[in-house]
Amino acid sequence: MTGDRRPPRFARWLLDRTLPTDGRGGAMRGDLLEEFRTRGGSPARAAAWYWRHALSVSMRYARTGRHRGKEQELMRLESLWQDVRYAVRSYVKAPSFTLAVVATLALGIGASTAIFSMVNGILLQPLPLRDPDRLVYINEVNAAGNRISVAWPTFLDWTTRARTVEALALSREEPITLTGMERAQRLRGRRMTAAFLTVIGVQPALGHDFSQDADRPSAPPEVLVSEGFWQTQLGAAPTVLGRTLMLDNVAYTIVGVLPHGFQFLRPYDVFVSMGPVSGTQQLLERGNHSGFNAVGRLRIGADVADTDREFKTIATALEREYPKTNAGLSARAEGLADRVVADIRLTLLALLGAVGFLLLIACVNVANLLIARGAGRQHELAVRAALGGGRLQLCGQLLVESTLVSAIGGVLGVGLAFWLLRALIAVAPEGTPRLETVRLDATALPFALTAAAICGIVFGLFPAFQASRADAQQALMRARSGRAGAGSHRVRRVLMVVETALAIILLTGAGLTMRTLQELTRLDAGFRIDHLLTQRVTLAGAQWTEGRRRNFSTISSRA
Amino acid sequence: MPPACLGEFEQLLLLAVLRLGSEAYGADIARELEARAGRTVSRGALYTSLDRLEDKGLLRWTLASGTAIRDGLPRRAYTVTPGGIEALRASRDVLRRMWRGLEGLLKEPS
Repeated sequence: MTGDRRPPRFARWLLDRTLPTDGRGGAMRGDLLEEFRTRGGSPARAAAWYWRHALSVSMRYARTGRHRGKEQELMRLESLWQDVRYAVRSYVKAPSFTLAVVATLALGIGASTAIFSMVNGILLQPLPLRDPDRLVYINEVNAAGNRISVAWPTFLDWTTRARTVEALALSREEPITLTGMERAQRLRGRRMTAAFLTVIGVQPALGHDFSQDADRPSAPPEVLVSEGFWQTQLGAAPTVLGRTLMLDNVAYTIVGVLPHGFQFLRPYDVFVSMGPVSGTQQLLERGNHSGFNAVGRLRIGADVADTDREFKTIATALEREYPKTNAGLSARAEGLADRVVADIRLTLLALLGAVGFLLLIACVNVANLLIARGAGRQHELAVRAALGGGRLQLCGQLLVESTLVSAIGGVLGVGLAFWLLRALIAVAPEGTPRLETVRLDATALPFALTAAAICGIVFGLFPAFQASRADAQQALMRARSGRAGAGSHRVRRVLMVVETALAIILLTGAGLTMRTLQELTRLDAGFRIDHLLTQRVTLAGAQWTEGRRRNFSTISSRA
Repeated sequence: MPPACLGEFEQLLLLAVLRLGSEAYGADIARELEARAGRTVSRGALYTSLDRLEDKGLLRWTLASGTAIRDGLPRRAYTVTPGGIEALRASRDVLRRMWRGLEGLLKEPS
């Protein structure tokens, strides 16, 4: 049966490219097809016949350019569209190659975009506070060099002596129990000095900041609530200002609602004033470090190092003045942004490095695949070059092919990145800072797409350059004998070496991480951790006197 | 206007079109040339010559619908214009005049 014989694909493509697109061209293609199908003889002879006549027609029409002229622009678009269709057909014909390239690109782009989005959201984006670069995080440091919390009297000394900071504030995280509503609730709370919001540069959205003397012992207790708390617990009523909340059995007056999305290090429901605690014996003792950290705003012209030096000098002075409580104590100031992400910085950077390698491997892999495919197409390209297909024309076709596959890989990569990012956020360790700022990043995506596209384009064009540079006749002979150019062999060998080297680095890193994880799970906690439950109970409020607390712990220890 | 001067191949093409009548399209013209004149012609030469004859006003064509074996691609059905007929006639007359008196010299060996 010869009636459904398909003529050689590339010869057909050639005719599509060179013949007029009107009825004249259609008739020529039809004549050739009809003759090809009605000819007897072996398929190879028929194909050879078709090739010979397709070449003769193409050469004459390519040279005379009868179909060009006024519609040149349209033709250019048409030829682009033809290139795209040809590229699609050629990829469909080689599904395993296409799948390998698309999957490699999608994986490289997806993974690197997801991790870069994490890094960008957590490490690179500035804190959502006014002039975050001028905020410093200050702590005391013990004799062993470890960061410890700041004693209240020490903080008061700092506020009068420090010159490199415009303002200083103190705050600590406190679980706070809300009573007096339907049921008691534990709130995420933070206690802070009156200057806190001024230092970090935030204004309440509703109401006002703490009053100036809110830090004074026995000053009327004040509370600022988060927008979320205001919405869910207080019905978003504008009349809440002046109302009281029973927090740890103390009546706090609501003075303001914080702006939407505001958080400091992590989200809190309420921020309470110092008044109720600043006069307590626990705080007044200089030797008590009750969990507070200081935040300061650098004076213009000062930097973190200046502040660090100054606070160390003040600490030395305090050590002399209060040798009993401050012996061996120093202070440390560091950028707030650095402090927030200090614990996770290394992990993220290591991950970023790993996906960087992954993207690189993906690119090298794609390059290798494209060059291998290019070597297999030497014949096709040589024929096209022999027919007068200029370097530009060949590059154009290959460019369309590379761009197409890069684009498909890119689109799939974006989908993968979206899904990966959600998975990463879901499995991120508890307490990972700034997770809420992580979203698919608008800068990461173009980065990965561009990397993949450049790789696809550069290596996609490699065969075109080779074909157009070589003497057409030699290329044809070489291609017919199935030998690829020495150039492509060399490049492929280099790429193989690079790919293997990168893979070894990545695998070593992954192996080491696995070992660390294994060691961590084997770590001896010093007690049996199986069949153990933990529970946290807060004894909030003044009614829990020292005696009552002791009784509670005696009873609970019997349970 | 004196009739266009025809080359040999052009004459063969016009004659093939005339012989084929309404069935004169590219593939059949090529077959006719091969069968009757023993000329195997490259399709590139065939189509550019047909186009040239069209440009000279000796041939015209209409588009006819394609068949299944052509995957529906159309056919160009050629017809010789009156100018083409005249050109053929003039070419034949030139040849006749040139032949006249040479029959004895060029007769087939018996």
